[in-house]
Amino acid sequence: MKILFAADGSSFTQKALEFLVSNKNMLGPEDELFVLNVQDAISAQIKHKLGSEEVTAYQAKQADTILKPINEFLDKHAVKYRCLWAAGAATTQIIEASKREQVQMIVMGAHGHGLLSQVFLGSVAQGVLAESEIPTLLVK
Amino acid sequence: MYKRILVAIDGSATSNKAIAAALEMASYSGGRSVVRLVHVIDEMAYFTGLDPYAGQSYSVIGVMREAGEKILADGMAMFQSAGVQVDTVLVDHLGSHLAETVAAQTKAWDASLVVVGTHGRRGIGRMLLGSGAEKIIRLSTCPVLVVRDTEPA
Repeated sequence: MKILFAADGSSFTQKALEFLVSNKNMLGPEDELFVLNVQDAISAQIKHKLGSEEVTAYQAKQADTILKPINEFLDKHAVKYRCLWAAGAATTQIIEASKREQVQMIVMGAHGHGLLSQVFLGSVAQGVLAESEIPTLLVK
Repeated sequence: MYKRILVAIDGSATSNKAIAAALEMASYSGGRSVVRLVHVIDEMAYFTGLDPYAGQSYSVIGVMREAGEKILADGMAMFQSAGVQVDTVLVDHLGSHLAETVAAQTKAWDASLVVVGTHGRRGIGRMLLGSGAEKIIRLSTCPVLVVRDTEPA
């Protein structure tokens, strides 16, 4: 099956990666793992001031710092994957990517970075669960 | 690979989707997965004064227990026909709550994956995760595969 993995660089990212490599046989020969990092949207005013190219370059660089170690990890474990990044609301971007790439499962962390993140279900996870029509695996 | 898959079921269409997802997860392990089906009888709902059957609690629980056994037997048959090793647990202790019970079972059985279905409803309800599923995710100590029923309830 095709899988979308939403990576935010939190401690769950590593846990999710370990899950994915130990479940490699979920990915068939025709399948692929899509690794998605979502960067915060940057307001139009700031984009206008700094120049939209500059902003995009910055976001790409930020995404790359998260995606690069993932690349290396997946290469080492011989997983077929493709890295993507997007800017905007995380929930929307994850759902859109899951539809665009026609994946059959979403893998993500149950919580984000926040102070009370251990207590509550993350807002992104909650949003994805509410909108996703496909099974979502939440890594704890 | 997931070797110990715990599935919380309640006999609903959504819970059947959870069974289907668990079957798929089990299929990837090449027969190395064991599945445990858990059904929790939430008796508290029947002990409130608002419940018209409150006076007949004992007979109601008997009926619920029978229904629970049927749900588990039906689920078990699906795994057995797929050749997956499966057992079932019916939880009906007084005051047992779904999420706490699933969390306790996860620990006691040392589950490596929990599969749960959550209801998709129309309108604003669609945006909300069932409180049962939300609590299961929150209390769980292992990964949780959440399966939604996207058909209007």
